[in-house]
Amino acid sequence: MKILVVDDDQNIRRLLNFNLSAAGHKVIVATNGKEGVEKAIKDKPDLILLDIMMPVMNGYEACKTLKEQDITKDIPVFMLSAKSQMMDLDDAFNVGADDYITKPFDIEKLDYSINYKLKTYNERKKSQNK
Amino acid sequence: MNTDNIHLLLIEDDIVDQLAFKRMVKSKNLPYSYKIANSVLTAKEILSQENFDVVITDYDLGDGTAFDIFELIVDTPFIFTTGAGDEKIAVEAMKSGAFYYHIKDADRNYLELLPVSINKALKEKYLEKLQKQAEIDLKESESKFRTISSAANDAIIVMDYEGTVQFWNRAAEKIFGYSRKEITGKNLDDLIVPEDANFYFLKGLKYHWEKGINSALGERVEMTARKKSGEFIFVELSISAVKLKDQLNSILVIRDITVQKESKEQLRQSKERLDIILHNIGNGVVAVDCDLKILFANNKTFTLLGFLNKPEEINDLHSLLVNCKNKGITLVNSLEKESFRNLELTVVKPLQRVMYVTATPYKDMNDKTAGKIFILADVTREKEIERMKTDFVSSVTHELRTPITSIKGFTKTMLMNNNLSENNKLEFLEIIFKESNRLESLIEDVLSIAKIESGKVSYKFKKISLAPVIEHVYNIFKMQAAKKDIILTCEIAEGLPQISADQDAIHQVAVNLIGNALKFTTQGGEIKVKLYSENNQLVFRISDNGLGIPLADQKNIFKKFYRVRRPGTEIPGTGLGLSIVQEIVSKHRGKIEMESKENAGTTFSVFFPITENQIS
Repeated sequence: MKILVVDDDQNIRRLLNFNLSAAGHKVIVATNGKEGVEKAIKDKPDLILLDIMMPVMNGYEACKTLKEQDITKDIPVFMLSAKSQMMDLDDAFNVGADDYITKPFDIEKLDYSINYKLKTYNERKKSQNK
Repeated sequence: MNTDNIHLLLIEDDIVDQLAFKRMVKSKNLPYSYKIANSVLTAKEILSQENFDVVITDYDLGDGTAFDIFELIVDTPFIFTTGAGDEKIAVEAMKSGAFYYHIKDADRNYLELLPVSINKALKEKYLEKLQKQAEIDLKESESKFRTISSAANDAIIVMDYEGTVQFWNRAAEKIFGYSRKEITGKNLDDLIVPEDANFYFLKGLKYHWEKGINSALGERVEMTARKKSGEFIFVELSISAVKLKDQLNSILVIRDITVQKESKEQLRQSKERLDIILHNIGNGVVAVDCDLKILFANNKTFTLLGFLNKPEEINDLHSLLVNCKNKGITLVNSLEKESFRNLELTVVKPLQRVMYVTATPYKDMNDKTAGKIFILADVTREKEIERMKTDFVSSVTHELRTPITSIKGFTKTMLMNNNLSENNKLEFLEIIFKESNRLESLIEDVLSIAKIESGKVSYKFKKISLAPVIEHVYNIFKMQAAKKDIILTCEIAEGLPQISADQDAIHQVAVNLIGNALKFTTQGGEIKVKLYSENNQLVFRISDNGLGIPLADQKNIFKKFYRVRRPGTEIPGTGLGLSIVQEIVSKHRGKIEMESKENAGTTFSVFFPITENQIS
């Protein structure tokens, strides 16, 4: 699976990159929302992990942009953030995010968690299309 | 006066004289009816039975004289006749009350004059009667006046033209403390009119005199009056002029209104006090009726609702809310609901402000809801603080979770993978160590910010020299600078005055500012630290030729957790350093200025005031 990781913190990028690569995924990274959108269009990943608080363009704006464009709108977007209040969740779903992973996350279960969320996502999509 | 028929009694013993009288009445065709008595005895008998308009009597009556019957005819005028040479008797008769006398002459010419005398007597009698009646009437009315005036609660005072008291009723005695005896014949203005009002009092009196008797009902005047005790009272005075016994008099009716006046004054004072309170409290106070018409709004209301001046015409609530978001429609709608107690109202013009509105219904005397009173409190600042607190918590959470995610993540990664390369192991350990440091300094910064914000930091102000503090911090960073190949210089002016400051706090300011300069200056750069005095201020200046701060970020750099993000370069930090510096500087009554250009460098200047007693 090709996964795009968008986060401004280089250590988080490195952490995700290392572990997701070890799990057999191809990982692309971007350091802010704008770069994330550009790479999503260019590389067409299967999943986007998107941080919220980032410079230049934050996660909400990036997600909204992704979901507005035909070329990227069907790529599942999981928000990835240290923000975990209900209000933040609301904001994330309002801009079209498909799921949510809070920091700090358990790196051991991250791949499992991602797969589980993707399965749920696909089932939801299927039932919507019917 | 009845002249149709005059009833006469002629008392005459002389037959010839009787005949002459009869002939005279007949010949002159006089409207007389008469009886004739020829002796005292007969006369007495007739007088006891009948009343006559006039009695004509001869002196010598055979069985007595006219004097014998005088006592019987007190109320009837009588005319006396006597023979010539009896003038002495005639004088006596006049003294006894006779109206007139005639001397009987031989030719009986006196009869020609008799009707004239009769007429005169009748006229006099009539006038006398009138006068008597008038006297009775006057007495009656005087007694009525006295009865009424003594029962009156108002002082009634009669004064003559000179202002001398002629009459003084019981109420006047009670009000002014002077008895009628004491004051009658005295001048009123000397006694009860206070000096300052004297002029107006006399002027007022004069005015009434000039208007004369026609000013039956004078206007009412309020003035102060002096009692016998010297105490001053408020009175209401009305003056009228009347003609009494051909002389102009003035009647003063005076009412003691001290109690009313004082309660009125108290009412006015309490209203004034209430007004002052209402117009000076920091909250807006508005009262509306059920139709949302404005009954009252204090001055603060207009200021709070965005009016620069108190508007001329504000009739209803809608016109009061024109500067509010959506014209305050939420408030208006809520007012209709009985349950409404409070809500927030946002004023958008001319500045955005948030009001907390509390409404209380009030009832009229019939216990029916008459309207609502609401109080506006400006909570803009509180809302801002609240928002900042939420932001702070949210930022701290975010900033703490990021390094923890890395630390936990890499630790777990190392634990999970037994066959990690040495390079990876080293790389991950370095990240863990760096992130631990970041977490540590973040926690320290948060704690110190929290301490500063809660006011728990107690600065120990002492007179100190800043030079050694700056020099110490400079020495700490010298090594680091050399490692990064940065030229760090420090220039401290000689003989700088001591200032009142907290040594640890100044130390932190220097660490944060020099540390920042080092972080944002690249290899081969230069940092200059200076301490000198200028315009009665101590200036601590740090300039570098490093990365500089982008213009868009400059206004935010003192905000908590604000960090300038530079894609591609990861510079550690918490975003709290400058807010701590700013807080410390402001506690030292100093100020901080920043000048920066992206990719050219940044200069921070901190100014500490030197006060007179700090030189020395």
